Amino acid sequence: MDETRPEVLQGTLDLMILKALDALGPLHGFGIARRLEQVSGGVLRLNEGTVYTALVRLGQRGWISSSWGLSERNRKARFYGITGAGRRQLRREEQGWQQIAGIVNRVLRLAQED
Amino acid sequence: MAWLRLLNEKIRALTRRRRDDETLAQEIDLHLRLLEERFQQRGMPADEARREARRAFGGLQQLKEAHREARTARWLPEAAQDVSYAIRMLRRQPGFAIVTLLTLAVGIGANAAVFSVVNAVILRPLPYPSVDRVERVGWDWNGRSAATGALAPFKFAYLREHTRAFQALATWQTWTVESGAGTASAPLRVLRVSQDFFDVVGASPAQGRGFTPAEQDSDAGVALLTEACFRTRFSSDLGALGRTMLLDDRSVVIVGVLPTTFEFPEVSDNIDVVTPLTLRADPSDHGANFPVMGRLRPDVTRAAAQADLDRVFSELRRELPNQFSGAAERAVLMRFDEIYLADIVRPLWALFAGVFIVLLIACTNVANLLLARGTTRLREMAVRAALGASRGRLLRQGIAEGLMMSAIGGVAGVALGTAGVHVLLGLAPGGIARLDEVRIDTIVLGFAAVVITITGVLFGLAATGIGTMPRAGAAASLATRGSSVTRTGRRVRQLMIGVESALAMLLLVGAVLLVSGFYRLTRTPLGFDPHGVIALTFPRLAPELRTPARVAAAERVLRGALAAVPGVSAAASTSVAPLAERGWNIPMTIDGRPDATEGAVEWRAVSREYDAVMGLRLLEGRWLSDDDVDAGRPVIVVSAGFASRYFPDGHAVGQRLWLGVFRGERRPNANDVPREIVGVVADIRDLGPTRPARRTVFIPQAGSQPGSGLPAFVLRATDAVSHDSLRAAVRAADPALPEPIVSTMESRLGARLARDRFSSLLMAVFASVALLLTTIGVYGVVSWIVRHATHEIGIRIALGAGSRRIARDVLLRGLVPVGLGLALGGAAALAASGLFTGLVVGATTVSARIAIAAAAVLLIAAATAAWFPARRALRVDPVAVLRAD
Repeated sequence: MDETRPEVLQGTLDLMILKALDALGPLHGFGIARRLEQVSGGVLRLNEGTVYTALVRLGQRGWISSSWGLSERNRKARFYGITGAGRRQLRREEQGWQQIAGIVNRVLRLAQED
Repeated sequence: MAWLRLLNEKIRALTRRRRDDETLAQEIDLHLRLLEERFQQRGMPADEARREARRAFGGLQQLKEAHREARTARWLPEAAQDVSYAIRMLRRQPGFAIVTLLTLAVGIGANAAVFSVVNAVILRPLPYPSVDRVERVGWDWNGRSAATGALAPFKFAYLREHTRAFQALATWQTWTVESGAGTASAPLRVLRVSQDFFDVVGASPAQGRGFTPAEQDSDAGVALLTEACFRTRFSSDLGALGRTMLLDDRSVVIVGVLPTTFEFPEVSDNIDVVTPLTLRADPSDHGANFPVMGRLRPDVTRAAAQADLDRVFSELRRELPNQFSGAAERAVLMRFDEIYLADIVRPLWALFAGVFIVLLIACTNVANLLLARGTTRLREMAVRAALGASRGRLLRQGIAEGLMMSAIGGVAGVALGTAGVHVLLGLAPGGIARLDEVRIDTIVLGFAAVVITITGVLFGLAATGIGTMPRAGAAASLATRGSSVTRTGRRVRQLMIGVESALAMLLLVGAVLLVSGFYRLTRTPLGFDPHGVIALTFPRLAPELRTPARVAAAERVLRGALAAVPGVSAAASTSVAPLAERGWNIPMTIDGRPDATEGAVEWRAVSREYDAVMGLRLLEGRWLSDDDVDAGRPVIVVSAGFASRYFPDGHAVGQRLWLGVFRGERRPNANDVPREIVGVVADIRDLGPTRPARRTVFIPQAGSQPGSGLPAFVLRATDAVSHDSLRAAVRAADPALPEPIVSTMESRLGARLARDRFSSLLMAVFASVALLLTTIGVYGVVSWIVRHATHEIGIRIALGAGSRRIARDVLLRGLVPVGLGLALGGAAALAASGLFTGLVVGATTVSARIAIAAAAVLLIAAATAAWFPARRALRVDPVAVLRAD
């Protein structure tokens, strides 16, 4: 079963996190991991710890910001939210991603027809 | 600027690493617990849930590492590593390090010192608000010679009334006064300012008030103090406001204090007191002209302001046509440096260029040294490359080393430069505007930082051998000798000494030019014999002594007393001490020839002994006699230049002229009768050899001194006469007089030549240093060539090549690039010839002879430097070389 679960491409994790924060508002690391699991239908293979590395990267670029708050059951957690710059970046990446996906799909279709 | 933000984040992360680690630990902890709970909810046992949570989360240690790396910049710890490695390399070769650092320190220090002067005198903006709207107005008399930065009072008044371009125009005058009772006794410098002065400079009193229009118009007795004067003389006591103080014999009321920020670099003295100045705007008043400064209205361009000046003065010309002599006469806008720095801007830039060239040569040598080490370190580099260091990393390592080197050298250099500034200011001639503002400030430090950074990076490139950097896996190939690495290395080195030679040539030509010009200047015939002549000048007299009768009496007594001092053979008085900074002039018209008239001939009122003391050469007629003086006979002696100008056929003696008459108009100081020319003396340059000989007239009128002071005295004396004995004689003769300033003609001549000596001396120092450094450079490069050609030389000797031929080849490898460099530098010097002239008054343009002389000096130095290593080549033992293979 493991073999069929695709690895997360470098860079796409950042995009997915931005999308999650854009869609759901501020989340803590665990919440982000759950959202990723949910949208991929449990297909994506991901060490959940890598989410935190991605969050540092995004924070340094100013695309997300963080603050301490209380999670469900009153536990102290760090919440991450998308910034304006993050939203703009997300739009750019979505466009780029769709273009590439389109091209790859076309290439793959052509290859099948051969 | 995204990268800037990123850099900032990463650097901040370094300092809060610990806190970030703890935060991450908390986040991980929560995440794991939530995962665990989730698995337990799905019915897993507690221990299995914990294991499963760990597995889903991934490796904890890797995460912490990755997290930390993402947070911080990886290159920062690496940079620290580079720096510590660089320090280790320097400490391993202390001799090399010291030579390099000293060269750099001297180069950067000298640059910082000269730059600090350039910055203060030329670059730093003047201290007026909206300084770009502040302009000076000068007068261009004929469109040929430089305009003078002053206007006659009536022109100023007319301009002030009719201008549309200026919102305010002002003039000023400085004066030294004795301060009366109640204050310290040192003389005060007074700045007298016309109406609107403070609007022009953009200043207002910090305490008290300014002058009211009424006070300004009537020159009422009011005064403003500068902050320095307020502090030192009144201990910053505000009670001083409203008190009166004595300026000479006049009492004035202190009405205000100017702020600390008030600066007025247009006058070079430190001002103590400011008082109103009222001008008499009468066209018939031919007294002093006044400097004029104005503030333009906003949005008025310089061109528009000049057009406005032209309009105003063409109207004045219509009203008073006889006040204008030529069609080319006009008012012009002038910049600060045109008026006050006219003869200093170019020398300063030239010195800066010179010292910068020295730095370039020093840097070339340092790069050369580093390059030499770079090649010997090729093996180390190759090994490190083989061990996985990327080319980029090696280059960065080299740059870190170069920066280290230039930073240490630079810091030492700035320290040296701070001391150097004092040396420079000590050498500098007096009277340079704004020189007192020179200091090592942030701008100078910034300049040093830029120099350090650029040189550091270049050194780094040199240290890694630029193109000779090995690729990974090249270590093995390095074992073989005579590789292409050596050939490239040689080319690079030859290029370097070529460049050095060209730069040194440029400096040397400049130095030869200036020094020979200065030498010529010191040999300029003055028209009098300065040796053994002593001058006495007096400070301004106290007001009660300033009557013509009192001055005349003092002159007579002093002349006798000074002549009686043992060792003094003759004493004379004169209205202008020889080799003073400026003389006195007077208008003149030849009797019966209204067209033979001029506005300013040099005028000297002297006693009969003057020609004997000065050793004037009489060409025609006779000198002034005692009878002339006693009988008040209207006679005059003129200089040869004067005689040939107005009496080109000779026969000047017996002719008559009117003093104080110009174009048929009698000035207040005009004589009632014409004076008869009784003699002609050779031209004298009594204002110094840097000025051309002026047309001069001598009248027998000892003691009639313009400016109501005592005349100066000149004595012919033996060396044994002490200055103290002269002062004592003055005290004994007339105890009421102030103490005279005693100076020899030699020292006065030195003062007149100070600027030219300064330029030529510094240029000579720079050129000598450049010559020395270039010689060292050539020696280093030829040594290197011999060392790396040992193999080749050994084989050639074994094959029977003559030693003479081998020595010649080695020498040529060093001297050909030097020769090419000299040719290039010589050509550049010839092309830039105009830059040098004018730095020293006597300097001519670059001649082929000077260029050849400079080239010969450099070539001999280079050949000597190359000879020692070349001799070593002859001692190569072919057997040893071949055995080593």
